[in-house]
Amino acid sequence: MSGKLPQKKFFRQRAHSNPFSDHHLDPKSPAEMDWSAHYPAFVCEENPTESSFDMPTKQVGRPLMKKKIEFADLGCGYGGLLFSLSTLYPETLMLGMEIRVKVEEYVREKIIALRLQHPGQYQNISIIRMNVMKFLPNFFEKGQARKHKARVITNQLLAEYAYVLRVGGIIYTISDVKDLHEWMVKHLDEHPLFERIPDEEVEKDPVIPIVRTETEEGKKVERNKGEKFLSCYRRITN
Amino acid sequence: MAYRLPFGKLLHHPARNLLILVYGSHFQALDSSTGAIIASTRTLYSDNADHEPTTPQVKYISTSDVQEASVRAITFHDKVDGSLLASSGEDKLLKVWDIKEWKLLSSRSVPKRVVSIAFNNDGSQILTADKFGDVYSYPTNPENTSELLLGHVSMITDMVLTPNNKFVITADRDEHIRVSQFPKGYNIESYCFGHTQFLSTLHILPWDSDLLLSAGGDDFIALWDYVPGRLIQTLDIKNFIQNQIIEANESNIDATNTIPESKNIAVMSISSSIVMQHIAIIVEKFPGVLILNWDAEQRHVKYMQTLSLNANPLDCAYDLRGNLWVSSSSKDGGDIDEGLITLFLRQDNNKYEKVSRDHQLVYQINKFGTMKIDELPDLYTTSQLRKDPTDWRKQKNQNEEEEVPEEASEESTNETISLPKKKTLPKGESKRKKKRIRTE
Repeated sequence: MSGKLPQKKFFRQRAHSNPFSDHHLDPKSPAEMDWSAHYPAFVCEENPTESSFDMPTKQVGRPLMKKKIEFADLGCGYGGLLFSLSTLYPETLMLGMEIRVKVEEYVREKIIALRLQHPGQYQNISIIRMNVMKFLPNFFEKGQARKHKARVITNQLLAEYAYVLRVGGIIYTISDVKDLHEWMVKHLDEHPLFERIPDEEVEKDPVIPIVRTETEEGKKVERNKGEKFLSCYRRITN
Repeated sequence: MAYRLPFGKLLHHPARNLLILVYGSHFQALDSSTGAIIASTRTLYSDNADHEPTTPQVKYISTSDVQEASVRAITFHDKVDGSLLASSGEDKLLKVWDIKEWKLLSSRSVPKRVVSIAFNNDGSQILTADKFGDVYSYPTNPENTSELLLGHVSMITDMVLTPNNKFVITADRDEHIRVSQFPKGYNIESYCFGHTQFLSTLHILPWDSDLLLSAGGDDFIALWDYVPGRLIQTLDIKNFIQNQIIEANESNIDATNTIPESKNIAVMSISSSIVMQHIAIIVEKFPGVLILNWDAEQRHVKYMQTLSLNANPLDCAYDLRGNLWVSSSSKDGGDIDEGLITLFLRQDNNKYEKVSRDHQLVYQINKFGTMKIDELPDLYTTSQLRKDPTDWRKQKNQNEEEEVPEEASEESTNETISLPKKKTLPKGESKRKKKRIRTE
């Protein structure tokens, strides 16, 4: 049995989706989100026993999950980063978030296909279509996430990112557009809840090479042989 | 046909017998213990026909100082000596008034239209929440600069600053209630999740200030322990509204404006009185006021009664004695006209008694209040916040169903887990493009 990988060319969509238009919202709150369909391999068997990493999430009328999502890729595009990190951190639940319908569909189908092609693998990643700018806190509890990749940044939104990131959690930003990079750095530098991680330390992070080469931004730059700008910030308290 | 412009907003001072009544860009101030109009931004209304011999002694506020468009937000600085009033609205001007001398202290521009406004406890700062989704803090002294506290990627519809000034709570059109720390608004304390429709109003219970009531386009009002973001109670109010409408129809009371056009309800405002721990709720285009009382033991609200009106209310406010002042939209000179303001006096048994429009407390305001206009503006904007999103999943399924026949046979011959190759195009893509993909 082999799942065919979806082909990107059938899933093209213009790069912009209006984040201010009204979309349907589910769930109402993190407690009501049913993640069991997203990560069937991580659903607790009858009696949830000890979990290695985190306490199981107690959910209202939902199957208990062994773990909570800890990596979020906000604006994940075609999911390159997710697929690479999936095998690097097979025990960490990761979620991509993308607003474009067709792009979300592509990633969803690729996950299904990869799970079939590689039994036991790619169980820890999933994708959801959503508007990060509006509904991020509906999906994550306070301090739930450990890592975050984001390119949508304003002063006001950083408060929401800080809310879902636990103290010590890391936000990765990457862009091939210098102006955008500078914009993100400026806002993150100014924000009292984030501190920049020094470059030497950044280079030691095993996630970094992947963020560089596997994100949509990264891939595009590889192709174009252009520059790419990366910066990482740690969530601190204030 | 000429109308009296109704009062769109009422605000009672929490410590003094002072009621501010807002109409359009103007306001009038009333002594709620005597019914005397104290101040007005505009010449008092007079219909000439029977000219009143005793025109009230009113302090007029200079016309050049009034707001240039409708006032949407107004608040007192109710601590210390409580002599400040701040207002803002459609004209994007933030004004601060001295309510002892009844004069304008300052006026400044703000970037967006303000929907809610609050003073901090020492009166040094004014918080504004705007339609763009941002909350700013302005120093009361206009020479100092403002600060952006927080922002939603949505239209903020209401904001409250908690009595201890530790949190600022904001509600938006996208079902969110956010509890942010004050003044460090970048620290989000919690979210209160549970609404499924737009929010329109937030109200902290003055007798239990850890608790918050919220309402909007949902059928219920919600009670929250807001610091942890915990939902305590939802109280369905739709039933009370519907029952009332049925009764009204059966008894054939004024049917001109009693029936809401849709089955959806939109809560416009929540007020409360600390005297009897009552809560009054105004629902858009519903000719009555829902009164709830408080069960202190269970920390719950309970439905008590509906005060019926012959016209649709726009806002209400409790005075210090627990009397309820209600403004209505009523046509000038109509037979069933109850006046601009309907007063419900609190009785000893915690019931309310509606007084006549000539009662001394409401006589002056009903006689001289507001102004005459030719056409009433749209007074009901709350329900316009309701969203009508297209469900992309349904839309997608529909599209797929439409296109399936061609593809079905091909699909079925594929392996069980094959992926569909031909994707449906989002609505609006050209046929030419579709064709190209098909031929690939």
